[in-house]
Amino acid sequence: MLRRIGVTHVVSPLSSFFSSVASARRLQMTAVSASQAREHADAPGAVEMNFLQAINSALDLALSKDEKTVVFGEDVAFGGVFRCTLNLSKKYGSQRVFDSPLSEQGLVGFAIGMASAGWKPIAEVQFADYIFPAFDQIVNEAAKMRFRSGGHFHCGGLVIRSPSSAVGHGGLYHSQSVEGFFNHCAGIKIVMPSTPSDAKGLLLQCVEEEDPCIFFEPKRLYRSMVEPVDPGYYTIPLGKGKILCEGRDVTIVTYGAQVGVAMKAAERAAQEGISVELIDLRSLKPWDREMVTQSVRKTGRVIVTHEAPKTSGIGSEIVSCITQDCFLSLEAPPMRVCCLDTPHPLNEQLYLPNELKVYEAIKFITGY
Amino acid sequence: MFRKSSHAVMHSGGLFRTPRPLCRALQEALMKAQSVWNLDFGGTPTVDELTFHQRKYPSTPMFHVLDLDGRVVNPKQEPEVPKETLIKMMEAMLRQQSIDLILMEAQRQGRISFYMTSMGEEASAVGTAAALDMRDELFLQYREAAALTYRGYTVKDMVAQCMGTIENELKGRQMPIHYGSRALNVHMISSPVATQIPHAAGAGYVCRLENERETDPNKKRICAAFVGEGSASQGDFHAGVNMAATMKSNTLFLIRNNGYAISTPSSSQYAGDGVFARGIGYGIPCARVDGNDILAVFQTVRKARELIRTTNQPVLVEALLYRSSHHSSSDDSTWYRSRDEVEVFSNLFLPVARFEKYLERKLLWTPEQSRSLSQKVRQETLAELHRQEKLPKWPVSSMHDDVYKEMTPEMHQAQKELEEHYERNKKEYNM
Repeated sequence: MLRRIGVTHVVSPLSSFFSSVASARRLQMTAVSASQAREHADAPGAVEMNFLQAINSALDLALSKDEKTVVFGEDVAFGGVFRCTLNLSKKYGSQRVFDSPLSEQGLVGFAIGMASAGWKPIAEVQFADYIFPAFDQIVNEAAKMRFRSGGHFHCGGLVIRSPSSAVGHGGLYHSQSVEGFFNHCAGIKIVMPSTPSDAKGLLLQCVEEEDPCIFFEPKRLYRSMVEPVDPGYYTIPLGKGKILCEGRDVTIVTYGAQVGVAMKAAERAAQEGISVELIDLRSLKPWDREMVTQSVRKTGRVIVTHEAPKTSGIGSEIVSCITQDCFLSLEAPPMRVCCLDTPHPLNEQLYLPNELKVYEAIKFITGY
Repeated sequence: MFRKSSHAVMHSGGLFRTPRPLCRALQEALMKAQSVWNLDFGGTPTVDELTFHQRKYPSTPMFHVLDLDGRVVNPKQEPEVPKETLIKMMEAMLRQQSIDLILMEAQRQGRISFYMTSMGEEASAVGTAAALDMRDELFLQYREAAALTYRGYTVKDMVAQCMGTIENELKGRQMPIHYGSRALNVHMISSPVATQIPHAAGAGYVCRLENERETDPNKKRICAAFVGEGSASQGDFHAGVNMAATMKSNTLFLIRNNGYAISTPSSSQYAGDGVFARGIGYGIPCARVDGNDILAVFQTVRKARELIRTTNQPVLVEALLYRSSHHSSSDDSTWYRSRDEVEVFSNLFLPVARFEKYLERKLLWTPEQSRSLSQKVRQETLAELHRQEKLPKWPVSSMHDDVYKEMTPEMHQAQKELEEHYERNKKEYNM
């Protein structure tokens, strides 16, 4: 069984497309208020970083800030299969940056134990597709530890980070977006950023949280998404979304790598006079229900789009909340544009909720 | 250390032959390469006759100190234990026995919803707790309440947890017998079996790192995970023990092998030499002990703790004993084992009586003290049951507490709605 791909460089036929997403993002940022868009991308001394470098910077700062912080997982010591942990073992030593045996239930259970003893383990699950062997440890243990003990024990220092989502050729076991499975589990927090700046600030916030957090990293952005990033220490609070562009006609709610797809669709719609408000949730549990509600009350229409399959995806929760919160404002039924309800195939061109599908949804809902 | 303990089968001569000269180059090449596999062949990396290795029978004998009449068999192996510790051990076992009698009956009467006793297994829990330091962190399964009792968990604490009253600092959220105490360094018990094993490996890694920085030897501590032989079949057992071994965690794995996982006998649980043999496969020191002999358990665990701290590796101890009681208040064990078997083995081993005879011979204890303490604890437990039955449960206002450190906006809203619902319908909720 080919379980692990030795990925030294993420090659994707769509890489040029997503490189243009980065530049498109820079252009788009001028359309919104400075305080909102430029959080940490235009800090003095900002340094060009891709997504994986922003992660590496966050881990470096976390390790230097607190001696009780450790980083470990499969193949982490040499730099990790996506290079997110490059040079950290050399800098901080093999007791704080180390390999674990090849066992997800083992490494997550081990991390829970470390966190219950007051340390801050940042555990890596090499691909989100392989987090399921640790599902019992996450759902039955990490998420419930504080509650079941009346607050006397907890593993709040736990952070699990994991590459996630499609990469062009990952097939069934190197492409999954699994956040929906965990969204139904009280006691954990879930984050999935879409930019290097957000990734760094949100990861450092997860490390500071005193609740267990799962941090998903859309792996096709690791090298393709580049922007100026504040090299210093900063955090971005969980539970706060981000309005990437303001609009009047329809709200699009999304997160992760799908943000870039939605942005392209919004630009295409703009050429036809349709004004799209685009929200990047960033934090999925807790999520920014208030921001979404305010936006949909203004536009009267909503499309929720994510890479995970449609049935029981996070979009279902968002849409039912919107229906409850914005019932009198809705001018069209809320729509969801997601992956199909099949396992993730190798050929994903028609499987993914691509730009064309999102664009068609925009046309449909604004013409309802 | 255990390299040559395996029994060769299908081999008529000596276990190893001297390699022929023409293979010297091969031998030398393999000796250079052995570190790639984290192996050390001790100079003989190959054999020229095929051998399949099996390690099953004869089973590894268990260490013991006392015979069934509480006499020391080998005076050289009698551990030096302070008198107050011996008495404290005896008292803890008797207290737990008495508490178990009352609370199991309380469950039969419908006063608590569920119960599990430690009948017949008190020695393994108390012997282990007594050999550890109070600051060592315990990760329990569920049949080790006696270890908590030894550490000072009270009848009041136990009744409060079993009843879920307002006095249960754990807020009454878990089924009865799921105890825990931050003050006593005993981690909260949870029902999913074996999940605590990798936790103890990770916390034991923390202990190792902190012990290496600690200059005062008396402040060094370890973690101990208590595991039933059925739980050892879970993937978490493999993951936890293996990772403790590679990470050199300061962790003790104490296996309570009582012969049954509910109705499943050990013949359906494993085919190797118990759980003990698996630890050898992970490359860590292992011992097997008579789990009904509290002095043997004490001595083994004390030596294990010393070994853990001095060699920076986890240790596995398998205690063999017998589950005298039903698995739980939801189980009737006569469905799968005969009453005769239970009576014979329960009366044969009697860990508490065995130790009592030992103490009597040393003039440290009398049967009257046993009767007196048992009666006192039974009365204390009954009194607590009566008292706490009148206490309220935790209030509705606490229902969303502790899911996270802080409540999220949606949880605040849900809590508010719940309280409003409760106020509107208070009479229909018998609280």
